[in-house]
Amino acid sequence: MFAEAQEPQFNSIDNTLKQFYSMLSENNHEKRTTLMEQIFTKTGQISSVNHQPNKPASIISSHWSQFASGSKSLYERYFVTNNEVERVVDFYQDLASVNGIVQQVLTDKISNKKYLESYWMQIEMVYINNRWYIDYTSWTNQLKNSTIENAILSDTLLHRISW
Amino acid sequence: MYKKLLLALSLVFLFGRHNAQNHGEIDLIDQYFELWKTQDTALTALFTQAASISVINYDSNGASSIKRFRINEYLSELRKTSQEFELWQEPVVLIKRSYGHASSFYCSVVSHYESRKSQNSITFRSIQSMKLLYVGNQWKIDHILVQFGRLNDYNFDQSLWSDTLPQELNKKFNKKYLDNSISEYNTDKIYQTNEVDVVPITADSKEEYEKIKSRFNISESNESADSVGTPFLVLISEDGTPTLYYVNDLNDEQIKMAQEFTQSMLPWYPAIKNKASVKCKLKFYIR
Repeated sequence: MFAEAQEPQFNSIDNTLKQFYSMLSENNHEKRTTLMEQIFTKTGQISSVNHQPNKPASIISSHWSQFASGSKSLYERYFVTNNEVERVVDFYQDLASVNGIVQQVLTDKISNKKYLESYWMQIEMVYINNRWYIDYTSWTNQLKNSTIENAILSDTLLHRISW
Repeated sequence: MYKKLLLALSLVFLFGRHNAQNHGEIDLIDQYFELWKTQDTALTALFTQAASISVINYDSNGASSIKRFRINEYLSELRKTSQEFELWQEPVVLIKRSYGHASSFYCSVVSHYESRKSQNSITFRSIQSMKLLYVGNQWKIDHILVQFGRLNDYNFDQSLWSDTLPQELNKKFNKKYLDNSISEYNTDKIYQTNEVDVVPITADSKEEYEKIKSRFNISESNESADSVGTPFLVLISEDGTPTLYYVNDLNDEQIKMAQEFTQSMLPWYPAIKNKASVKCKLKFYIR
């Protein structure tokens, strides 16, 4: 007897985010691309902000499929794991705006050396056809002089309407 | 215009924290809503090259779909609508998060469409989640996600009105989509250590505390890349009781260890904020 392969679940925000982080840690390019296709809306977008010491930040925005092909070499060189440390969700009806802190570990496949980086993940989700999709995501790496946890602290601004 | 009306206290918070590029983000949001009203071509310059606006739509059966616009397409749609209606919209409450070269605004927005022919009008609310990036020495909008209520041929949905008017961004959610995990992430009530006036302090002696951490192979930092620990959170409640709070990526064995770790400690001196004890979460790493 064999256990049946479980289909990815997207029925809740939590399950969809688990699939998302599992996809980011998937080493096989084809599997990763298939998972991305399942997780993102057809036109879904990914933006990455890479802060670098003494240099302007490098910012890349693209369709998720371009990201899939563009990141292939990274996954060829490293095993990638992502641990979600914190999560805050703002939501209204079929829109959920997720802010998370993620610790990423890159393990060099040859030397086995590990590299740590913490990220602020922003994930925009929509509920369509009885399931959740990701429509936009961006990640921002930690600055040298400011803890990444600051990213999910919020300020509330009130605006007096002039109408 | 409206930035002058922002609460002074909020501004102190805004400009005093984490490497923000002055108040450019607020200027940008201000310009966006101003130019939106006039559908000025300059609107397109406020966005990144890859930027898009996604709008959640509903058909007459209530089924949702998403429509994504590039900025030129969006402007074109706006102009078409403005031939029939005079358009107006402004944000009411904005929740801002910012770090380095990225920023976000989760806003409730009030919109007013007035027919140019009949003078009939509709007013409604939406939630707009805006993502900003600091590109080429200025802030630009990278993405906007818009959730309107279920409007049906301009018959205004009263439930949307009542849902979004008074508390603005009070979380409203259809429970059928809600999983249990969401309630665990309510940071309105559980503070981070950098938000409190006094952080929690262990009642164990320093030696005993170090011994407990060492026994379970747990540390408070993860700076060594060669020995990477998996993070988890411990909640220190108002009475100082430590409990395991968030264990997402721990395996069963590590969860058991983390539980024993929290149970091995004496109650803590709780965090203090505004002279009151508050809940606070502490991050640890297990190897």
